[in-house]
Amino acid sequence: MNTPVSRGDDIQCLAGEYVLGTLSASSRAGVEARMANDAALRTAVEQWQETLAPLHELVEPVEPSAQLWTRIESSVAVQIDAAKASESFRRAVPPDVTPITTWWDSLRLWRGLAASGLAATALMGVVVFTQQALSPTPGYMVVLVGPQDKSPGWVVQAGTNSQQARLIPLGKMEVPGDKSLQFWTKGDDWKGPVSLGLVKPGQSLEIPLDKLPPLQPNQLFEITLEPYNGSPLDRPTGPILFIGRAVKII
Amino acid sequence: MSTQRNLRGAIRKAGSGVIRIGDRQLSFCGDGELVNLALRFAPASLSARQLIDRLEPALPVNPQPFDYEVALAACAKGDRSALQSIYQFENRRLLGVALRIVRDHALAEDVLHDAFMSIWTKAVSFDALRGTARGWIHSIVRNQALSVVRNHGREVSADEEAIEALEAERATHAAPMTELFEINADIGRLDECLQALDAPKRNSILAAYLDGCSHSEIAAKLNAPLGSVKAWIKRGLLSLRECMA
Repeated sequence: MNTPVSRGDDIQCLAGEYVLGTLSASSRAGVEARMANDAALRTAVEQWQETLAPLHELVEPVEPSAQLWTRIESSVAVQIDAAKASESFRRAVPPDVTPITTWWDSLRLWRGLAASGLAATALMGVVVFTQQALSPTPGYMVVLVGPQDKSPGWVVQAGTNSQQARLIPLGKMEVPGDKSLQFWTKGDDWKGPVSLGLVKPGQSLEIPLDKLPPLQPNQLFEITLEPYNGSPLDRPTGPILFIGRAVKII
Repeated sequence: MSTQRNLRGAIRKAGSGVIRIGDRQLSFCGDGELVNLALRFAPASLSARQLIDRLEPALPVNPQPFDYEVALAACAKGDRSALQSIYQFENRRLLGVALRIVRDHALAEDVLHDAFMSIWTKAVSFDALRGTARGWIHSIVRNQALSVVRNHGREVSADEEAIEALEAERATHAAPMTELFEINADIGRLDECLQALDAPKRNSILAAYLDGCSHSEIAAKLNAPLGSVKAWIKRGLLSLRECMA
């Protein structure tokens, strides 16, 4: 009873298994990456989601703890602060008009970061790792974290007088084929952000700093998702994927 | 049996209200357990179908049903109270969904936390032309839960081919498979299409969707060869697709 399987059936099965949840982590990631460019697959996934959603009516409701909403609420507040900060990052403001202080001064944001504990843990781990792996004594370190989940994605490392910084990935990520990752920085008193070039997911990058003013504490670094080959403007146009600021290392 | 299931589904759907049987009133509150009680109270001449007709839902306090789409649009505009209203409306159901998949209460709450952050930040990308707002919200929670179990594996890392080879030796013509899941809510057409599948396909699909089981977990649960489970799911999906079309 083996009937030949058509391409339509293949897509239906792949989409159906994605929504059922039986695919492995790597196959799931593959489907998610493919959906960005494959309209048929995306439509099939959306149809399966609608088809199977009524099954959730069979699930017994469970009472969450009272703290869960409080947790969500404070994470949302942190996210709103970060979004505001990135807006001010996008606006090229002359330093003598409005100093960009809003989000550095946001107690909530840093409290949020600290509360997550993740960034700090990652920083410690990474300091150990990079000191072993790289010869010059680091002068500055930046941990770039996701604006919402605070999970560390990249670190930037530079010697005090070094003409180069190094961007090091902490994990792998998928970038849709029609998008690029772009790396940016901005000092507190700069007029606007400066592009440090395109970044390939999962790959280290040496960044020449000789055209830039010396690194300073609190200098902001971001990786944003931009159109293929980078932002058409002199500042980010897409969402922030990772954000962090320079910390001096003794 | 199936009318009893339908009555239970109808009661859940109605939420709360009364069933009038003669001069007696039986109050109900979305509770399927009352079905047995209702059947006991009811004169034998009344069928479950007739009981369903007698369901009188209480007038809802808020006559407007919750509009998920409006709430998502408000989230997209930065209205935090809209996110809270989604949470208040769905938190118990969504935690149930996450808990069935990750099987740990604290972990399930983490899933819900992260999912609500995604709902908040992605609300702007919700497109009503591509699906319902409630379905979109549920998918975010599911995907978050699945990525937790698939990435940080509950998965037993066994060589799938080796398992298949071993299992191929096992006799496949065992006793007829028992039903592992009860469909005790009104899920519309999907119910009929699931009933049209044979038990192994239905069990496999429900175990995957409701309990987040991987192929090998389903194979263990159903005591069936991995290859059969994979085939059941593929064929089951295609039959469902055809039936729902």
